[in-house]
Amino acid sequence: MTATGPQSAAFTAETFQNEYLAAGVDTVDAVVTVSAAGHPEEAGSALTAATDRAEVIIVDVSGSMGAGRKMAAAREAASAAVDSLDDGVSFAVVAGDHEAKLIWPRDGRSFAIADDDDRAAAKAAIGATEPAGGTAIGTWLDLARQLFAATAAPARHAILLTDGRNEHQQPYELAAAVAACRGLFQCDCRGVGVDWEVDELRGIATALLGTVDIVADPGDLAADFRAMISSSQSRALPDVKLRLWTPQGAVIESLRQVAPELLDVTGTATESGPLARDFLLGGWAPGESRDYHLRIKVNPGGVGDEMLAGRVSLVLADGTVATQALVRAVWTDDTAKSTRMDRHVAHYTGQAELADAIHEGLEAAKAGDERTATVKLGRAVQLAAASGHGDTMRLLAEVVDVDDAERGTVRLRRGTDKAAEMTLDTRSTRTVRLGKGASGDAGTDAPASEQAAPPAGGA
Amino acid sequence: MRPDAEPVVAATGPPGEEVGGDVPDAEPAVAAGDPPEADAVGTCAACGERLVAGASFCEACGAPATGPPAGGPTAAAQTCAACGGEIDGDGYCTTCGRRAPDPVTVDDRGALAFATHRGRRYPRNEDAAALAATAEGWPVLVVSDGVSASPNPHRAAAAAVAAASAQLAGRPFAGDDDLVAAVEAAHAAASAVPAEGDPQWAADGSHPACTLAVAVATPTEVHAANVGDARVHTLTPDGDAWTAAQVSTDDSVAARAVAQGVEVEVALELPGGHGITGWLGADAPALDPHVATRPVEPGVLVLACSDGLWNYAPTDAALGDAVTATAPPPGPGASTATSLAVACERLVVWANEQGGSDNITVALAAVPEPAAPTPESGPAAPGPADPTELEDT
Repeated sequence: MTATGPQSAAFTAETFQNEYLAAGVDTVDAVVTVSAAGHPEEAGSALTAATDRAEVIIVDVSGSMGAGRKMAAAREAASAAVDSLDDGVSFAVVAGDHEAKLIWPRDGRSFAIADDDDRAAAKAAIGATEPAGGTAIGTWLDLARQLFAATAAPARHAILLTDGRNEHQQPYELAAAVAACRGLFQCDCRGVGVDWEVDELRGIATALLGTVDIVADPGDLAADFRAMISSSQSRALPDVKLRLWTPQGAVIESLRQVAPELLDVTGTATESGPLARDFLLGGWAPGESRDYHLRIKVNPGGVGDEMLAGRVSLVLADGTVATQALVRAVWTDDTAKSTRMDRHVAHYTGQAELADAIHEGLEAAKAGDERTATVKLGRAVQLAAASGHGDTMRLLAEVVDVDDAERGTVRLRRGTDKAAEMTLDTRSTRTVRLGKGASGDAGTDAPASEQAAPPAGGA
Repeated sequence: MRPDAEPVVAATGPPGEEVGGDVPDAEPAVAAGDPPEADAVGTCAACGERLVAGASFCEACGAPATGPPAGGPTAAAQTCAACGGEIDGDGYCTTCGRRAPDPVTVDDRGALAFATHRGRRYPRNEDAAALAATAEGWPVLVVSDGVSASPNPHRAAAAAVAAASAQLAGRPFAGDDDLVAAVEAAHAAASAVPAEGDPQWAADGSHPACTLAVAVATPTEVHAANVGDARVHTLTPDGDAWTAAQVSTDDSVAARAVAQGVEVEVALELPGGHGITGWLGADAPALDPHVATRPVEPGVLVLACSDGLWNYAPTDAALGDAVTATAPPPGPGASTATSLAVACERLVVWANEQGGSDNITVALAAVPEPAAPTPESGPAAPGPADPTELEDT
């Protein structure tokens, strides 16, 4: 763990924290911003070629998809996704109901290789799908896993579209299927209509390092699918891991991605050394930046002691350590130092509370507990306003009437549109970042750099 | 007896030639950036035997002493003091995460030595020290404390000790006038340090400033000069304890109060009691060094220090206790001797244990034996131990 290995400029990492702790305090909080270089190829890191990528497009073809124009929109979207594939990308199309069927390719191979002929044939197969049967999402993931197992392509991505709950499968069966897929491929999940379960789809997307979103209007599906494929193809750096070293006796209380959206990855670690844990981050696009909030519990030192509470390393697919950031703890009896809260940590603590307030408020509303719903959603409005989270504020305003955003005074709306509630719920985990020039205790960062400087000599 | 503390040997033979021979004119102290837990003495690279301070060759196997050079910063192993784990390139233990302490910089020249450290609160060491010998071979100690409320105080302190020691090194020592000349040289050097370029200081028009204490020990007298609150003491063995006596006079608010009859402990608690009323530098008040002389004899030690040490031992009695506790004088019960360098280092460690609220510098010199027609090597201090024997730190 001491050797940092060859440093690649493909990533940079920066720590934001108040490392000063009062005597006896054992909890160290820090936000680490990890950024991929805008042009990683210039930094000498290998980019994935089209032939290094595999895509599986999974479309719900259960009977419920026949309602309205969902099936037509789904076919259109899947076709748009196929059209977006670069030449040379390995791809497969899966139609799912209470079981999974590989509808392209159909010649026994796991993947077709995208070219004009294959794209046209795949779209014809998609066009021939008819809605029938139930919904067993676990079987769809099982098939995708088997397909991906047959490819050596390092960048593996799936799109999963559904309109309903996992009704024809036990929850544990879905959980087992998701667990088996973890680390094998990334999966973006989309719910169309309002009859699917936000928590269920979020669970899949979270475990498989993907996004989750609602596409309330089937007409928007095609554009969304094109965007997902485009975003997947831009992830030029596959299989990045975050390695977190903590000192002996320390406990990783939590490790959460906090930007661009909340993603708790605390429980997903695998051991990579006696004191090190690896967390899968999936693929990265050039210029992409994510923030992580770490909370580490350590054995507190005495006043004046300094400890390395965590060392965050970014590990590339080939094992190269791309960058590192240090999380420190310094115990002090100077309360002016120890009582300050780093503004990044404070900001994301607020963003997490905002997501929780929305979730709890909507749950309470669903259960008929209007009082709790009003309090929670009022708090959400207050937090969204305070952090300048305009998108969430607009979604909240669809669900409640805001009397005083600053005080969090709201009234529940009668007869709220279910799509509005689901959209708010689905997107509640999206966060806003702290602007570089945002107001706040900018001085908090100063001691960190001071502490980082080696003690100067006497001469 | 104190099982955990070893007695101090007062001297290692006539320091005249030995010290004068290998002491550069002046060498300001720097806080070395790397190895922690410095062994003040070192071991032979060839056979592992402990080296005699200042020795050029290992006494056990005869190999050149390539270990920590006498008179230079010392090296050390990179293991964690708390758990024994490996220290990484960032200075933290790879097992328990503790930051390896910054090494105590030790300059060991046998009959004179100093140790300096940034302490536990300041991000850098703004103290400096220098060792030298007069033409007679008499030891010269110089300690300076950069004023942290000024820009580039570390550079002022380094310039001051370099200039003061250069003024005295290798020249016949004629007494107080020479000390005053050394202080004046230090003042000129500190005044020439620019205010610009201090990363820890925003320009506000003030000038680099530092304090200074200079001491020369002849076989019969200690001569001391000081400006500010760096101090000079004598340490006289009294059985198994040291008796300390301050030779210098602080230029401080507290010292003024003490002079008017206020008790020392009370005076130091006065508002601004630690404020200094005299210093070196371009905006210093009119230079008015305190100069004092005390009769001494071989066996006595001279101690010069910054307030990083004496803040925790502000009286003669407290300082005597601190030195006795960390490095008792050689006595009938003493089986092993401690070098002056180890004693300096232990006092620095002790001050850190008390809180380390300031940079800490401690310098010690043995009062030399009167010059003999043919200097002989051998123990000059009383006691059964071989005075050149050095023990593990």
